[in-house]
Amino acid sequence: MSFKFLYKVELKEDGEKIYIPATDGIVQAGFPSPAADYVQQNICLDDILIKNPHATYLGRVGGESLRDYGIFSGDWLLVDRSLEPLHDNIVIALVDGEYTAKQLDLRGKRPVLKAHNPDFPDIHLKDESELLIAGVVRNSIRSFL
Amino acid sequence: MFAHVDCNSFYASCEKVFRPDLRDKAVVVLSNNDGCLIARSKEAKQLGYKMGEPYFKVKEQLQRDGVVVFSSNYALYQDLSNRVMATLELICPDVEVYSIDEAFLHLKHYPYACNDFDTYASEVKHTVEKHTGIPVGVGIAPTKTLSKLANNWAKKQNGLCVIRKRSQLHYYLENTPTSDIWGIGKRLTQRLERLGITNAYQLAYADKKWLRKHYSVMLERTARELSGERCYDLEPPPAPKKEIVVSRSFGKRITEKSDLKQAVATHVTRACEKLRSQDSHAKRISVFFRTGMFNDKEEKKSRHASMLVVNPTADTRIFLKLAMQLVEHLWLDGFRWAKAGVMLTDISDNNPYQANLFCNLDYKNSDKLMGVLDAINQRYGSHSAIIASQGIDKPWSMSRDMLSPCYTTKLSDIPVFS
Repeated sequence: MSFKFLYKVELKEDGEKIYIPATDGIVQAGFPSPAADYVQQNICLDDILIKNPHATYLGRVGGESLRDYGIFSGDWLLVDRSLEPLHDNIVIALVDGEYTAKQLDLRGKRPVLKAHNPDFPDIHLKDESELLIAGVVRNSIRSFL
Repeated sequence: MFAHVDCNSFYASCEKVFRPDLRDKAVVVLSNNDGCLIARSKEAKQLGYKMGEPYFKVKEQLQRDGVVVFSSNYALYQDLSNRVMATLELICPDVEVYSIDEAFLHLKHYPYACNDFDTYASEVKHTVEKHTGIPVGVGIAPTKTLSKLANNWAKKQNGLCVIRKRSQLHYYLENTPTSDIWGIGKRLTQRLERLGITNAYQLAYADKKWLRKHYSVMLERTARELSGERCYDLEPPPAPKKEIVVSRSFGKRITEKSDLKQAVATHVTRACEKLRSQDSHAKRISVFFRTGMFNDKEEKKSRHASMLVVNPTADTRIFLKLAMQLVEHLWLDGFRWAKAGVMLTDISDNNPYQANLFCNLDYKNSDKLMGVLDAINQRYGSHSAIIASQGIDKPWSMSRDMLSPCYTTKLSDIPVFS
């Protein structure tokens, strides 16, 4: 049930208007839901996908160089800057002034940024100092629709 | 012990995070309406560009030097600032956010004598830089004033400076001019100079009672802090604002009432968003607009008025209606308006019980609707969902010709990796 008041506009002498919006009082009746005490937090994808939100950046794949690894153009990438890059990690590396997603191979003497597509060559770095990593890719997400 | 953390050339550094091609390039950031230089990367500083220089004066020089110029992108800067501050909170529980690019940490959990503050400082620096991509300087010292002084020195070395021992303190104080001390401005520097106080050491060991008597208790405290005596603790986070102001200069002058209405409507929308983000309601809205202040050929005029609602609200639609009435009321033909603004005052906390009892039928689900509006704009970028009076094309809007993408806050702008 509800009841309604009218509203009015008054003009004060100094030109300032007073505005009174129409108001209702609404009286609610009935019993609270017996399930209310059992409400739990919704499941949140962020909690599953992101470990350190303030060091995580969202990016998108714009190439096919990791296709055979299962990372396709248009996939979302969650990049965690706080992680130390390890062998086999998918990383965002700086190559020729551009960021690129590749798999890090640290087995040999010199680091290699591996592509997973015969059309794209692996990138062999001269030494550790050439390895500039902006972050480690924790997840990729693909939408099917 | 306190640590002071300061982001290096913050706005310029933000622009570089997602642009590795600019890593070693000179970058400058312009103020609103592309007015003057408000941030310079290290490389741009080396080229001799000054803070506050008007853009039109150095435009050609910047081009010749190959400097990359950006309009200010506050959405990006605020997000990266939040990330820097949150990272600091991971390292130390007691953080005071001092400004968008500065923070104090209170290292009270680390006993003065037995810890390795050099390692700690370098850990803070490297963690922030790694997690966020923003380079920072760290100064550590026994008081806030000294930690800020230490950070000034950090800038001249490797970005780190710890002042612990008496002998170190003596050296740094003697070599810091009074003008570089936190809280001491230009005029005070000159007055102190006439007394023969030209460096921090002289101030630290000046007669404190005399300073208080002839200057202020603030200066006395600064002197005590410099001598190593703690006078300031971390400030608690600020209380919700008691007034919210949104105002901008127009990209070009406004002569049509409909354009002014659009501009005011946009400011109302922004002000209400701010109001809701701090969970408050307001009762009074003021609208003001004025012509340019510095053009002698133009007649100068300034207009303002305010209106009150009885029940505090955060509903954009209510304030929009009032603001439009105010513009109608205040409008004068024949002037070239240069700036407009909106202010919300009489702010109170959002008390749901009080609000629900007396709310307009039309605005019954106000909080819910406004929540949805805010959520949409947060998710799809601001101005994705608008109230129509804001207008679609905005001839008056701020010129930001060299705006970078909102890499972290807008889905369509996120970086693409090859």
